[in-house]
Amino acid sequence: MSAPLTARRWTWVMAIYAALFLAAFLVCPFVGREPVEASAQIKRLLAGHPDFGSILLQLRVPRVLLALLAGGTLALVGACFQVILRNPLADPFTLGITGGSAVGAVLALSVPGLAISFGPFSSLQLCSFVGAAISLGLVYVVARRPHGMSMNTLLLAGVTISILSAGLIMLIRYVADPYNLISMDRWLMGGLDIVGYREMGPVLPLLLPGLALLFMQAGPLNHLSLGEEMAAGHGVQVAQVQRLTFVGSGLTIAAVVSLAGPIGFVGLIIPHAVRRLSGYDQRIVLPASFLLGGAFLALCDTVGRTLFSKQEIPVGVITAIVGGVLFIKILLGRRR
Amino acid sequence: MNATPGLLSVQGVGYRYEASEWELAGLSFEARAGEILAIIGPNGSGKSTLLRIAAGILPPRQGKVRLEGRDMESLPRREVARTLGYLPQQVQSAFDYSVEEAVSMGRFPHLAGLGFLRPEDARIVESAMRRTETLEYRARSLSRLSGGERQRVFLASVLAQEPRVLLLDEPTSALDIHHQARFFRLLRELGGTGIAVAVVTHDLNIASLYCDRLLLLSRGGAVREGNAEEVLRQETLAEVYGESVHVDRDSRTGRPIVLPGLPGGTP
Repeated sequence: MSAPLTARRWTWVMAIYAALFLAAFLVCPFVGREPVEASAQIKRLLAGHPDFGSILLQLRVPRVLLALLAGGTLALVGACFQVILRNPLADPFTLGITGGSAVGAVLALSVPGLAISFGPFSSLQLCSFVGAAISLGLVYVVARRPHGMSMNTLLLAGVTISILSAGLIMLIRYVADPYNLISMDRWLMGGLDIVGYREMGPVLPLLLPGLALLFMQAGPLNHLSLGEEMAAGHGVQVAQVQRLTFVGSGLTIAAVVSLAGPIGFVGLIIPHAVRRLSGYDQRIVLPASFLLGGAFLALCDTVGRTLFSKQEIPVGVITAIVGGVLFIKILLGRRR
Repeated sequence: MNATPGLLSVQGVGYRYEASEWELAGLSFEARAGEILAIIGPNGSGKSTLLRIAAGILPPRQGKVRLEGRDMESLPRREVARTLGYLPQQVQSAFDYSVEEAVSMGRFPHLAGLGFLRPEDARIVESAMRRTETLEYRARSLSRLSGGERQRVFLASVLAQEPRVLLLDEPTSALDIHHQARFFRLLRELGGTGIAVAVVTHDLNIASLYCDRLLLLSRGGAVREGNAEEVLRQETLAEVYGESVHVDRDSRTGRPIVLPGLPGGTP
């Protein structure tokens, strides 16, 4: 890892992470409380059986796809924020996006008048989007400077918005119908229990361009880890890279959170793990974080689905516990 | 030498930080091929601000910066970086890259796509490491270097840009006297290859011994520009730094050297 990155090494490393991602996609749908044997499925498919894959294709596959996309996005955005904020503890929720979308979601769940859907979006999704957009806009206005953005102010504004959102959520919960509290709690835990592909489709037009935008910043972000001045000296358009990273992160996180709620720890721990395994070059860290993050979340969700026979555990609970333990292990390893 | 047109020409630039009285007013200088210009002056005199403006990092509120005759503000950052190398005062990496990784980042403005090094880039990176004497620890990580070693690594990354103009902000403040001398000898060598160098420094003696021209700033304005003989005068320095400086002469070169004044005046 000490030599500069070559195309050959990049390809190899990416192939390994991509294989993990693909393995998660191929294996996880076949694991669950209801047995779905691959061979039996293929036989049914060949026989033209009408029952073919109803559990597999309508429940498990979309859910695993969502896990791969959501986990990947969370880890990728975490990796980006850790560079532009120059803070290894940054995660996708540092900028308060999640806080805003949580306020939106909780409002949607407690105010019956908001139960309107727009096109393919549910009111929950829509409100969480609007909440995310408002908080992002606020953070941007506060951190904007004549030539670019102030990263310190961005961090402070993000933390402030998160606290403000937490306060608003408490207020809404306090006045809300107790009957609605359960669904609010459930949303705040983060989960991937979608049915079919219908909910995923509408967010893809936001998610995919956002992801592409972030991947394109990988090279310049290396230079930003040497500081804004050194980066500019090397020829990086610093303000533009920061702005595009901000926009890309905002789009993708708003999209993911509107579907899956705030799933914690993936964005913090996966980039750390990738850097430990494969070095600091962001051209590896960014795509590898996406691939490993996706595989990790799919695995966590599979555990959550199958750990207890009677009840599913929301994936946010699993990632927080597994992630927390792993993170402490990484930190202990650093003492050496 | 004076007939050579400036590779970098800073023309009447001014700057003012928001919510601050301090102002940089109407400063000009030229960085000429083969010449080392020292920008000197007390703390807060505007040296670093001037250098940032010259490097195009900070857009001036008034005035113009021209790089090889072209208006800096109209040039894409990448194009600027192919001609101009800038080393900030302190570079701190958020991640623990290896020396060779850090140096190879200097090739960024010359590379497209994902920016993998071509064979010729690898040769340029290696030569930049050799010149800065960082080649022997190319595989070491940045966190395992001393401050001075790290400074040389980042200089190497700037040299890997193959700049024709080199702007350095107090590059030797973390170096011992031996490495300071080596560093400036390296700058002289670079000057010999036709590179224009401008260096901000606190060390008036280094400026006197190694630099062709000196630009003395005070409170955001230029006080005097010229060779060491013309700029490092007792009365000029006393005016800028206060009475506590004493100008003497280096017995080997005859150039002025500046020493702190003694308590109670010189005996």
